[in-house]
Order: sequence, then structure tokens, then C-alpha cells
Amino acid sequence: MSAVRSLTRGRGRRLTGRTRLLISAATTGLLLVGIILCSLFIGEQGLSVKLELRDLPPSLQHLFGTDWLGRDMFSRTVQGLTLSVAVGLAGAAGSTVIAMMMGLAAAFLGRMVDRVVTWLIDATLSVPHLVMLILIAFVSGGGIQGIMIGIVFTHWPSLARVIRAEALSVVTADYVAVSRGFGRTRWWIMRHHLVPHLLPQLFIGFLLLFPHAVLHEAAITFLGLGFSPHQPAIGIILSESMRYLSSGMWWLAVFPGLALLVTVRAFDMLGHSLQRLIDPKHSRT
Amino acid sequence: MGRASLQGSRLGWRYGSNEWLFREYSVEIAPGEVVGLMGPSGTGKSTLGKLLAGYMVPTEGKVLVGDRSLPGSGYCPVQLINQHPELAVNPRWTIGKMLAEGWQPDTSILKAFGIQKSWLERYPNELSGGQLQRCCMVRALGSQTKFIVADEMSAMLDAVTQAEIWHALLTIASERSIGILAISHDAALLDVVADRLIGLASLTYS
Repeated sequence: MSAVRSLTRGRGRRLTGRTRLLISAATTGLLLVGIILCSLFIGEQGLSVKLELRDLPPSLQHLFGTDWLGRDMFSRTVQGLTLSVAVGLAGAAGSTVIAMMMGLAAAFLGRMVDRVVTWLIDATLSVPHLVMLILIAFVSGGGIQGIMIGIVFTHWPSLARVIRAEALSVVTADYVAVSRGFGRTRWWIMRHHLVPHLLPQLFIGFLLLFPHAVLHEAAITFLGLGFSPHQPAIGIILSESMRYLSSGMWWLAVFPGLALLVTVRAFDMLGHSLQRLIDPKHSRT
Repeated sequence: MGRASLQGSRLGWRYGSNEWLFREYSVEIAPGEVVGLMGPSGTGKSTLGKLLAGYMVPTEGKVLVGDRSLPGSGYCPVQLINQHPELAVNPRWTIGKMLAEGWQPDTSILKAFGIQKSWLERYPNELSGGQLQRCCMVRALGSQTKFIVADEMSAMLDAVTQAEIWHALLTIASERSIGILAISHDAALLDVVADRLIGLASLTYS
């Protein structure tokens, strides 16, 4: 966001929210399509070991260079990003669903449930994400499944808090009281008044959870808790490259790291510009 | 069923264990009758309105229509119209959709309240407060409505619009013998519209 703003400020004009949204949506879309297409083309053979091509710095043949086994780093990065994006999407989607159910339960099922949900949110938020994530991933058997479960169960609270507040504000609104006076049931009110109001919030929440999920996936694989080492996850690539940094092979860490950063930032920007457009009052500046 | 009157019998209200806002308060509104309720702010007028319309459950006493208490579910025969129409409508719904939530009003009643066809396509923020209030009134006037609680219904409107919408409401009410409780701090208005006035003195708990 700030990059865009400083760029436009330099030219003496500001982009409108809509333009900014379109730019970030286009960037994110292109990035996603690019990652998916590349990984389809590369397939397994892009990851093959070619010992005669070891330790090559970036060139036109190997954009991101090659590693100590002669594997093309560009292919590995793209494969790693595909994996990260997949885990991120699944994790963020799962978290969003939990957040929605928690928020709706708190708003609709009475004060007791509300208290329990609020307590759960506070309790989950009070433990550092990564610690919880490692614990849950470990308990649920590790591997890709463990990471997914861990991400799903640690990322919901902040969104659940927003959804709960929004849902409560609708449930206590005058127009819902009027609706009840017309004999509309709880279920009807939830479907017609509440859900349409919450959908944009849920969508933004999903977009903003995604970068978190991706980063946490990278962090946990970096620590060696996630995938098996032969899978090219970004976190694994980064942790392996640590050993070779001292021998001057900077490209092993820089390009995968940058790729991760760009992906995460693109989704973050998209989420924030969408949030600003839909809900300018409550978005952070 | 058309003869049943709206009765609040020995109503009492307080928040939690705070002081009683009022207690042992009884009120009766006959079909087709317009009762004016007056009193300064903070004395429980709006709360009484909400109790009678079933928005809140009284701490003490009962609200009856005929000899039955207000239904727990289904269309409530007592409808409340309050001072802020912009809060009483879903901002994401068009006027047409919002009216349909109550019932399907016919053209004659839309005309009586001066609601134009083109408004039905619009969103609430595209109408003025007075226009929106008229829509809220029409929405509340479904065929099952027997009583209307008008809580400062016209306080935000200018005198001309006020006269217009009260005229429209009173006409419909006498046609269908709908009873009205008009809550206001405007003595002049209540003098004109109400058949009988009930005051604050009987409302305060002493």
C-alpha cells in the first residue's frame, strides 16, 4: 500500500480506492496464474538432479541459479510457491469457516455461548501463533495434514472477533427487531439480513488471513516440522540454503525469499484495498 | 377479533436489578382509538412502547390483545414505528424489498402515503427522512396489524409533512379500526390527533 502511495504522491496525484483495488487485484491474479502455469509446465523433470550444473549463479538458462545438486532454483521456487499457496488457501478457508461459525454462534445463541466464544478467542490469541501452530501440528501427526490443521485452528480468532462484533450489531439493529415483529424467524433473519452483511467481511478476512497462513507455513517448514525434505516448500528451501550462504551462494536464499514476500504482499495489498473500499471507516490506514 | 383491545396490565420494567423505571402501570387502547402519551424524556415512554409492541418482555405484568398475550412467533398485531426510520430499514435493501418484508402493499395505500413507484427501486439513503418514514409506516400497516405504537414518529419532520403523514395514518386507521398509541412530547400535536391523552403522572412509579 505505502509503495503505491509514495509512488503516486511523487507524481502529485493519488490513486482512487477503486484504481488501487484494480491494480492489486490484477497483480495478484497474474501472480497466481503465473505460479500455477509455471508449475504445470515444469512438472517433475524440472526438479531433476544434474550434477554437472552445480552451484551456477543466476543466468538466462537458470534465472534463479542452481543449487548444490544442480537443480534449477526457479523450478524449485515455483513448486514451493505452489505448495505454499495451496496450504495457504486451504488454511485461510478453514479459518474463515471457523471464524464465521464462532461469530454467528456468539451473536445468536445467547449470552452464555457468547462468553465461551469470547473466552476462546482471548485464550487462543494469548498464546503466540507459532507455538500453538507447532503444538497442534505435532499433535495431529505432522506433515502437510498437521500443518493445515495447525493453521486452521490458530488463525480464526482475529476474524472471529470482527465477525462477532458485526453480527451483534446486526442482531441488535432496529430493523431486525422490526423483522421479528413481522414474524420472521431467527433462521430467516440470519439468511436475509445477517449473511449478506457479513459476506464482504468474510471475503476480506479470508484475503488477509491468506498471507499469514503462507508465512506461518514457511516458518514451520523452515523449522523442519512440516514436509519431508525432498518436497520443495519455500521454508525448506530457505533453511537448506542457510548452509550454503557462507560459501557465497546468495541466490539460493534471495530469490525464493523474495518470491514468498511478493506473493504475501500482493494478497495483503488486495485485502487491504478491498477493505478500504467496502468499509472505509474501520480499515486501518 | 376486530374488537379486541390492546391492554398493558400492571406493567413494570427495570434493567437487571436497577431502580424501577415504572411499575404497576396499566393502559388500554380500544380498536380505532387514538391515545396520546405525553411526558418529558427519560421517563419510560419509549420503553412502554417497546413493551406494548413486543420488542421487549416486561419485567412485571402482561401485554394482551383481547384476552391473549402477544404471540411469541409470527406476525405481531402491534407494530412499532419509531423516530429514526433510517435505523429501522436494512441499508442494503431497496425500498420495494423492505416493504415486501412486511406485506405486499397495493397502489392505493402507496398513493395515500405519497410514495412514488420510482422510490421502490431506490436504496434508503436515496430518500429523505420524511419519505423514508412514510415507507416505514406503510410497511407496518399490513392487514394483520391491529395496533400501531407511534413513538415520536413525526418528531424529525417539518410541520407540513407532519400533518400530511398523520392525516394519512389516521385515515387508514379509522378505515380499518386500528388503535394507535401516539407517544410524543409535542402537546399541540397530540391535542390534534389524539382522542384521549394519558399523562406522565400515572406512569411514574411512586
